[in-house]
Amino acid sequence: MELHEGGVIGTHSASGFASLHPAVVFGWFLCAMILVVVVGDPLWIGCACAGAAALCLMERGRAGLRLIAAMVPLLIVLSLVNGLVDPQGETVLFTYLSRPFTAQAVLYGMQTAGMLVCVLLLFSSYDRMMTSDRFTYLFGGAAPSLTLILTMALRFVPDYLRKARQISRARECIGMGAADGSVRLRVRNGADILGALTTWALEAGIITADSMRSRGYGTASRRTRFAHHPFGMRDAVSAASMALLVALSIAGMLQGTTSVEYLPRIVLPPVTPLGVVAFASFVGFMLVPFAIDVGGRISWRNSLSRI
Amino acid sequence: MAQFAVEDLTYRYPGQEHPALAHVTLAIERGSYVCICGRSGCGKTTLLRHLKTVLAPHGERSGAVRFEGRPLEDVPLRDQAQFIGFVMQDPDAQVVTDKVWHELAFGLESLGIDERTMRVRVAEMASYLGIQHWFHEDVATLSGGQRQLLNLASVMAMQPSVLVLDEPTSQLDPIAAADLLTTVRKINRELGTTVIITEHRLEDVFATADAVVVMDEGRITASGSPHDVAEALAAREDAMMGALPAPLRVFYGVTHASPRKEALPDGGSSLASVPPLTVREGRRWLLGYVEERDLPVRRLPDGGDAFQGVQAALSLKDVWFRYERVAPDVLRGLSVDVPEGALFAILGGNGTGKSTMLKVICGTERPYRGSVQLFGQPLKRRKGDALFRGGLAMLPQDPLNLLVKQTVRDELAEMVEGAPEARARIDEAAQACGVARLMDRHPLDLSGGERQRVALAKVLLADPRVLLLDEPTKGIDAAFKQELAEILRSLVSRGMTIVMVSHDVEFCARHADRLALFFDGSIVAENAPRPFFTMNSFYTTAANRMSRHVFANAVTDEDVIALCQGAEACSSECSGCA
Repeated sequence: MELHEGGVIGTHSASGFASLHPAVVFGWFLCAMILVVVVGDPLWIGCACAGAAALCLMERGRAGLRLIAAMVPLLIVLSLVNGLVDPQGETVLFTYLSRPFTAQAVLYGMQTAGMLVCVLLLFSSYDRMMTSDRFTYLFGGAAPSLTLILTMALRFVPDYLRKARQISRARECIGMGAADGSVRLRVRNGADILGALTTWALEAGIITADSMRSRGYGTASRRTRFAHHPFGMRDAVSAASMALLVALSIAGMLQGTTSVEYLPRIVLPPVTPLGVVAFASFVGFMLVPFAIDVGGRISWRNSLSRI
Repeated sequence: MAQFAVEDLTYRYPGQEHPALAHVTLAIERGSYVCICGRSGCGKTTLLRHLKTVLAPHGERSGAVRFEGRPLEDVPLRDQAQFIGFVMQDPDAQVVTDKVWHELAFGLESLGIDERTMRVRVAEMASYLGIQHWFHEDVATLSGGQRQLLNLASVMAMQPSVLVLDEPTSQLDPIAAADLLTTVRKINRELGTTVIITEHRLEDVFATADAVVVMDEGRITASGSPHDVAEALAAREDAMMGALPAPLRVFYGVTHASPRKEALPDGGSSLASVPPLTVREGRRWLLGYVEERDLPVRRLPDGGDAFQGVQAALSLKDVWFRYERVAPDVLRGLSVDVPEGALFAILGGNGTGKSTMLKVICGTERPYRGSVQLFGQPLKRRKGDALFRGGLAMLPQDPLNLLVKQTVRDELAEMVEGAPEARARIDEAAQACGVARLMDRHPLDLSGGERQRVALAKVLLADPRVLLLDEPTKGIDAAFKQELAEILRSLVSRGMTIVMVSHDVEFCARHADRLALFFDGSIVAENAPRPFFTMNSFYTTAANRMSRHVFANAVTDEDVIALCQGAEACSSECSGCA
């Protein structure tokens, strides 16, 4: 009998960005997050946010839209809070408690908040694209046992939360809910529930360990892996172009094309050809997953029309 | 040569006086289906765990276990892992990974099987068991039944020659349990895999098994073919009789006075047939029995409705509920009146909204239309303490969710803290539920049935007038069920109203005052047990299915036995007349 290479495991579509090799996907997220954190230019941050939001919409649909909507008040509140705590800047909008509230501080807050929002949006898509099995595939290659522990830990968290919910709901229905009784009682009950959860987790852990040993865990000299992600041409091309875009962006940043001064007054760096190229590269880089997703959809549609 | 041979195995847990296994000798043939039964704590799980070295508990041991002729401890662990498959009770905790595909591959990965072979093995097992549709799912999204099937499949992917299952269905609803057992039977028949299984619910397993082993207090008290074992249990009126399939209980109940070996007075030689194991055999046997006797009485009195005109303790009127704005309705115009002082059972399949209904009654979820009234007062007006103290209380499906303290005494004390006569009330509740001798134990050290009773005692200390029970018979054995029923009856006799949501048709038929069938978000039928089940033909007790072609309304096995025997007494009188 001839045995065939199996298909790719653990992706939800074969056309989108998430279908690329886990190393490529992980690399993009890692670079994107680092770039967003180190970049200082509000224009760059704005574009990064747009890219992240587009990806979030693409990946999560309706839920993504709700998440993006929730980011707007966060952005406003954080900007205003920075205005309240930072008295520097020369354009004073008004004073409160004899402290100045300046436009520069608000703008600086907005840039920091934008960075945060962008990272949050990226994480929300990361969750979808770098599923736990892909993550462990990537990093467990060298140490399969470590992979397994990671997988188990990842499963443990939702289980723990579900059990906690069950316990608190059960207690609610006999009038011993988290909101009933005096503060002292509530603290004590909380501690008891935590204790019970820990005991439960230990018990479950023993069963899981039995189940693992019963299925031969640790009996072979080397564990093999079922998951299979071949690194193909598509992956190589994507990785190379992403690397080029990142390199150009970093070159620009090193030349100071993104070092904006906020305080005491806003000073933008001069526009240079390298700056323009770097900016274009950065925007391109942020849009890579979105572009690949869209490209995937278009090619799927084309394949439909040819049927 | 037997595949597994247990030879004079005696085992004692560390620090325990009584042995958990005493002189157990057992031979299991290749390809056979062996069922090991006995009430909880009889040592059947301990015995099963001795069949695999990595699972065998520590303690004092004598005797031997041989696998294919070799002492088990000499069989390499890798071979044991591959050839002796073990499925445990808990569907959740024995899952190791977070993805279905990964779980299926786990054992093969551990054995170091190469990637291509692994793919074929996983693919064929998934296709054989029909679980390929959820291959890419997260384990967390599966139901209990699906998880247990996954556990079975991931063991089967290693192609074991023996499959050991330790109460695999005790946490499942009857439909999922039947599915799993069907799969196990298919594996036994089509692949020739030896099956060794322990079970509480013997209805399915007893008729399938080649051999049955009954254990009590660490000893084997009966073993052999299902018929021999049934005969032996009936002869000594063993407590395990209560766990046998209904056709057998009826058979021995009817023929008890005149054992089948003796010739029957009216020459009923056809009755000396084999005892019926299944409903089908039971029907045939019963038809023969009835035809020979020409029974005049074929119907039991319906016993009028005792709850006619009784005030409703709990009443739901036209309740509609959905979890999210765009989600479909889960409760669809649900209306029901639970009369005060009744043991009211609600039956129905999975996912019909029964649990949601309990949440709505408890006020943890709010209906968007309709009302819930407790003793004529809308639920909305009663909040928090006022609702739960002296009003409602619910016993959840998993009693452990209520048990968070170090000892049973603390569990109970928590409920009455600061109340007058706390000690007396604790003692009273402990007495009522039979947990007085467990007061200093840790809740996790108790058996399933004991946990259930401790949780019930705790709930009773909330002093409810209406008690809600969510699947109270899940995972407990026949003996505990009987005790639970007695506790519930005594509560009802003291005026408490009990609403029980359950899959357990037999339990509800025997003990409930009124029954309702829940389907598609509302209640489609409601009646006293006898008329309720007489109307149904699928969703009814085994005794009813077995007797409905000859008796009009026999629901429990006692009903069938009474009709058979009542008629027998009469016919002997009549023959006297003639």
